[in-house]
Amino acid sequence: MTSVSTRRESVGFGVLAAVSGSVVAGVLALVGYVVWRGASVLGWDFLTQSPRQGMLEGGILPAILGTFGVTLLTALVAVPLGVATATWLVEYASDGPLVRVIRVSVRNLAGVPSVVFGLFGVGLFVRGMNLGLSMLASGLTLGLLTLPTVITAAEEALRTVPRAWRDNALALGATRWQAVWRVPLPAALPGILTGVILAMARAAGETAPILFTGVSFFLPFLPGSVREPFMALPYHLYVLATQHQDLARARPVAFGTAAVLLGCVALLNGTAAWLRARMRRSLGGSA
Amino acid sequence: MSLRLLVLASLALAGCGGPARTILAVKGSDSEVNVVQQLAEAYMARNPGVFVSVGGGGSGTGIAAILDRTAHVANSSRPLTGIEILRSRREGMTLSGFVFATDALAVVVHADNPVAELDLPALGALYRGETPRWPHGAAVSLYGRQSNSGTYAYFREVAVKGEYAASLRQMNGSAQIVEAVRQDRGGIGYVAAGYVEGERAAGLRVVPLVSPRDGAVLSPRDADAVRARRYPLARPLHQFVASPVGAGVRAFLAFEDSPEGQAIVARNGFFPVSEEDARANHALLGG
Amino acid sequence: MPTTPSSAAETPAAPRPRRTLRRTGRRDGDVWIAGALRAVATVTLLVLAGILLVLMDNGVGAFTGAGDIAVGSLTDAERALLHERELAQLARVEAARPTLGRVFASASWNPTSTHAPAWGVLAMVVSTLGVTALAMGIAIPVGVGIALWLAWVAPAWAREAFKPVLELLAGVPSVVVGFVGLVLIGPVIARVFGLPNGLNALHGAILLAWMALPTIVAVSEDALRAVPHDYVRASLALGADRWQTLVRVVLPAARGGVLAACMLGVGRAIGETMTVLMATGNAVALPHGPFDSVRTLTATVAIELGEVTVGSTHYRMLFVVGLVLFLITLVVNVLAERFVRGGRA
Repeated sequence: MTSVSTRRESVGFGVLAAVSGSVVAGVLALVGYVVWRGASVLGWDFLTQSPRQGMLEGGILPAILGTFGVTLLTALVAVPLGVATATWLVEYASDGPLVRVIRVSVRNLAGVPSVVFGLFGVGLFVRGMNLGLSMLASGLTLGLLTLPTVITAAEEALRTVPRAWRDNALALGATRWQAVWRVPLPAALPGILTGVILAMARAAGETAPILFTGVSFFLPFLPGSVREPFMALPYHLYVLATQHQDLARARPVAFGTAAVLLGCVALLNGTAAWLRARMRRSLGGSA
Repeated sequence: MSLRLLVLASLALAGCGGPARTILAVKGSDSEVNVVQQLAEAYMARNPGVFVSVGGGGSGTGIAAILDRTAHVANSSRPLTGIEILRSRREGMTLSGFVFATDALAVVVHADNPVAELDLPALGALYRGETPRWPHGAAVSLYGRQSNSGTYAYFREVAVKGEYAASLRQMNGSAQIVEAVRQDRGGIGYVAAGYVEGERAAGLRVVPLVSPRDGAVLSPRDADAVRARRYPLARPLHQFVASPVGAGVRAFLAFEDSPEGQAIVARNGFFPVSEEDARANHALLGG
Repeated sequence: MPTTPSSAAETPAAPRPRRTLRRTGRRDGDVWIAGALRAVATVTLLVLAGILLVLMDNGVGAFTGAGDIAVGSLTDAERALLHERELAQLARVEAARPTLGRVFASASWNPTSTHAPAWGVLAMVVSTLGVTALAMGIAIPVGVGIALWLAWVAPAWAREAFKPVLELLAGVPSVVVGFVGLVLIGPVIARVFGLPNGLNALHGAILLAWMALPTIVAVSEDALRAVPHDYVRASLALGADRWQTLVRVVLPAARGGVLAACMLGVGRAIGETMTVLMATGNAVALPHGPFDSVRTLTATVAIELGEVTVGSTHYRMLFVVGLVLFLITLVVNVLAERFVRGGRA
């Protein structure tokens, strides 16, 4: 938009720019503040030891591994289901009532509050399927929670692959599945991975769905089986922030835990952003 | 390629999907969770290969977990209700009680609050919402625990003698009550004495209470008064286990009763068990 | 499938024209794969239906008394286990059993009372909607403003720089936001407004606004960017300045998408759990203003589910609360979709 600036314009645009700038500053300040306050405990020991002395000393290794494990389980549930759903929607299905119903379900599922997924997990996995409080029950719950994210990302990625590529494969005598498996799926892989990583980042930070399906207050040893309860970073932070007997002394540990959690999420987000940038370059900026 | 990775990951997970290790699961009262967590820590340090998990959530949670057979030891800051006994019978279970410490509930106010002492009727009037202002002018704001914590129920029965005011802020942990009252000039809260031990009481005043037995004004830090239950808000800290008591559970309870265990109890601001409770304990551990 | 385990177990068959068989197999396989993919795709539908089913299945017992111990059903031996006081309590609890009226027309929630348990969800519904409305009052102007700036005003470098920041914000786990609120924002609110403490609806709303911002900005930016350049040129040619064009032409043209963005933000705020749980003080009473402590539907489930006896009336009522929450977000989502479609038309 170009024209001569009026007073109203410069004031209006100035306000918008200022608001945007302060949000950026706020986000960076939030992250910086957490890392700064947690810096006193951050270190190799913090990442590689179990909590000791009423969780005030030692590290948070069991929580890190627990979060890692449950996030991996989440991906194992969400990726096959999500990619298969997206593949069917994009490559096989023609518009019809079933497709419409599934799309509506995906969008609505994305809007279901995480604590409702927690109730669902309790009702179905912990009780109904008798998995008990376990990493498996939490992983299944989080897997279904992140399913819409994976489906949406995979769908978008598959749609960016030109239609003609598939037609070429079919013309060369490939079956439908061969054409799908060899052409659009590999081409869409970076996009799908981006979605998967973002879904994992979301799963790693969730508290409410694991609260009643398997996370544990204090389990200072490494997870040994997916049938056992586990410690997780977000819940550990919640405990340190609100439940600990000596909140003042637990504060640095809480900030350290928050910083590690933010670091994990930022690492995952960064990987996704990097993948996306690479993908955009390879597709010539059209994605 | 990522598919192969995924398969590998699932195999790895399936590998640790074997039978869960035996974990002694302790769950329940938030008043007890921190001290029991430290007891568990020390116990595990002495007995490598033994796993103890500790969870909070409230006394009701622990007893419910035992009835659901998801915990071995239920921490409870109140005795079993008849209804819980009834439920346990219907589950074909007999619960035995063990007392590992005596607790005094401390009533805390902001450091600026000049109130010298309180008796139970005055405390009850405050928590029923019948006293809007403190003598020094600040509006009363009530802090308590969430419903179904043993402390919530115990305090209702002994002090409130009716329904809590709807304006009661139901905090998620005792530490949060301490934190909130420290910042609130009109605040009043009740927490286990361990939460206001030593420097943790900074910015607060622990209000002495009038004993209904002899009219003496007593502090929750007065060990003799607490142990003899003269302090009006003194109570035993229970642990309930299913009878017959298994060897693993028995060993853990015996450790809590040992001088080393009792030293940890004392360090957390709790008091030794009364003579009567000690006799019952020995009967349980011996038989 | 070409071979099934049972046929493989039979005696080795005589040599068959394998190539033909394999080719048919492949084509059969193709059909089979398509069927399997379709079956997997219906999982989302099943999950959505499953959630509703699990909530209702567990919740309905709250109304039928499945979670209570009926005094009439006690055997003499069982009666003997109970105090007089406890029998009376059981009878009172039974008499106060949830009914539709007691649940949906009452603001009093006191599930563990031994005198008269109360099961009203109204205070929590009002709290949830109130906190959400406050949050949106902050997040919508800010979010849409940022989206306008990003879509039409900001230089390219600023737009590029903003995206990762927004993603970072979207990725900050809610428990971290709640924690920072607890130690930083709450005390500031208390000081600024001269309150005894910062645990109130306003605090929750500020944090929720913060968390809903990425959704609102991202979705409305897409909608604003999709407004045809011709509209803008026409407006400028008619003598409007750029501010007028932005506010009177671009924004109305993208109305549907922006409204959808707001509804998605509302959905996010309503469903947020840990942040509000840590920020709002959790008193269950009808709130009178932004400085009252409130307890949302989500916080109630998160606080109480861990403490209830499985199968009890209280346990079942929490599924009912979940159901209310589920239905509210469903309505919000349907509205969002309406707006998207309305915007397109």
